[in-house]
Amino acid sequence: MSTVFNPTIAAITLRGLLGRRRSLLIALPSLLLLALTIGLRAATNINSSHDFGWPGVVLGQIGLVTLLPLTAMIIGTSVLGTEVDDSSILHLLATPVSRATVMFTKWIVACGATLVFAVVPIAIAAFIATSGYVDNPGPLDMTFTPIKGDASEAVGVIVAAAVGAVVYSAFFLFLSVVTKRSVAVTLIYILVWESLLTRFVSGLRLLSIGQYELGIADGVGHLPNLNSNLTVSTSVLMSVVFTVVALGYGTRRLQSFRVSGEAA
Amino acid sequence: MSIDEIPVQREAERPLPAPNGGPAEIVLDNVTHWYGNVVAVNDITMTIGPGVTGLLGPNGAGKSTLLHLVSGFLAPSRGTVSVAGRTAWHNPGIYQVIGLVPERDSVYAFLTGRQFVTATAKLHKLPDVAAAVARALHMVEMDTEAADRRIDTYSKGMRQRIKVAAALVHEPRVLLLDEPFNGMDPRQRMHMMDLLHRLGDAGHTIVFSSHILEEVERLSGTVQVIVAGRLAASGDYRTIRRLMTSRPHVFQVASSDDRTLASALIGRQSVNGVELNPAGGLEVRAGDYGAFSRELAVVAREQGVRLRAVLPADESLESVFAYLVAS
Repeated sequence: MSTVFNPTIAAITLRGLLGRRRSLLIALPSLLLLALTIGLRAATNINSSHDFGWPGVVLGQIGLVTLLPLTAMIIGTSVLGTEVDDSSILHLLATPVSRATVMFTKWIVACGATLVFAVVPIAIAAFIATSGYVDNPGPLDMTFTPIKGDASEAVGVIVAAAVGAVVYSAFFLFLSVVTKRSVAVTLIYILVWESLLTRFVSGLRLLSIGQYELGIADGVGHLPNLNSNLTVSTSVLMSVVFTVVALGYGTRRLQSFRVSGEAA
Repeated sequence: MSIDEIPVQREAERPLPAPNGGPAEIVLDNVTHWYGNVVAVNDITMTIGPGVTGLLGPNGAGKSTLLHLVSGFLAPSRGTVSVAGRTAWHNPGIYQVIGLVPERDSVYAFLTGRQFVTATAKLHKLPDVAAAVARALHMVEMDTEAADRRIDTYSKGMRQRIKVAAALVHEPRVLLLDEPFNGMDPRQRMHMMDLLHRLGDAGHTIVFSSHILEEVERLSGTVQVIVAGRLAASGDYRTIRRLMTSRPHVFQVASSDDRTLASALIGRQSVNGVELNPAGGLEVRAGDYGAFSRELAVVAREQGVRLRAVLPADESLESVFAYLVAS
């Protein structure tokens, strides 16, 4: 009975997300990445950053696999999880708006916020990290000019980050609906599953959003030292599957949203 | 000053329009709901029609669970729930008929009251949002500068009222309110009661829960008493009230001569039994609260006994409701 995207829900969600002091928290991981990238770039201001091989590590392991999911976690669990926790979601759900619309709108807002707060800083960091120098200026010269096709390396990272924002947002939104401890569960997913288990158990990489990102970044940009394990086609396919399943099942759970009662 | 004496500018004279779509009935048929192995609602069958109905019961009795079953936020484990002939569970369309005021006052505190009600009106896709918002704010007496303040600056009573305004903005045929008077001052209570009365009189089906007998007594013609998940009593509030006041009461009495007082009290009609406590004092079981209260003073004066303490021993709501279940 309604469109898939609801601007009223989007406006409330966005105000709830950015109106709080949380926006500072959301911006913090990105600021750290930018500071680290600029610092390393200045410190290795000799020739091309490639000589040191750090861009792949910083953009991949820190940017794509740590910063992006952390930012997406804060955003993804905020746009729905806090409302579920304090039951204010009842005011949205006690209207004729379909639950699919609620889920989809929240997801779009989460994607948009993650793009702004994580993907844009990663993009800036990617261009800074992969840019070369016209000649050999002093250590504090910040005139970065891409050379030797470095722009494609940055583009690979940016595309991967954008895909990651979409998939992480869907997954963390889904977790917000299925568990009341969504922050704890997402942290476990990021820190234990993605950062630890997938490193040692290769089969689990097929179920890691971070690995999809690295696969796409590598497939598109071929940035060295990304340590990607999946092909770009597998990464894209699994990203689509992850997103569709998370949104679909999340919507189903939202359709069966129960208020925890007195005896619960 | 009692609540009755507080002057209220009533709008009762101005009747509200009948609900669009006509009166709506809530029908619960053998409804049971359990959380894990805890039964919250136990085999309740009832039909609630237009007018104001109070769900009365102690905390944890299952009133909120019942309201959530009716509002589509819980699925019955057994039995069926329907509102205006439609099932509430898995049916967002039912919220064109239902307005819900949840007990928890978590609202979008970063919005102003007007923004909150406006957002609700937009979600209902009302044709004239501004008019609907103005009408809803007026109904709850929030059409003041307070409507343009952020909700996180509101008192608990104001939050309750803005929630009611949001629930009323689409003129629902059924209004469900979970403990709506919590946090309201006496004047706000009176106004809210007046509003609910007028909605009920206009043909809306109003159901509210409360654990305070006086609230239910003042507001609703029909009372459903819920105790431990069961429908303990149902019907006119006067009948329920009579049951409650005529139940046996137990008093702890301390006096200057317990034995003399005990022998004199046992001869009175209003007293069912007297027991001397080993540590001193009496335990008196009275059949009629009012008559015993009057006679105790008379008996003490006649016997020359000084009363030191008279304490009702079982005045908890739970004991009152437990008596209702037993009777």
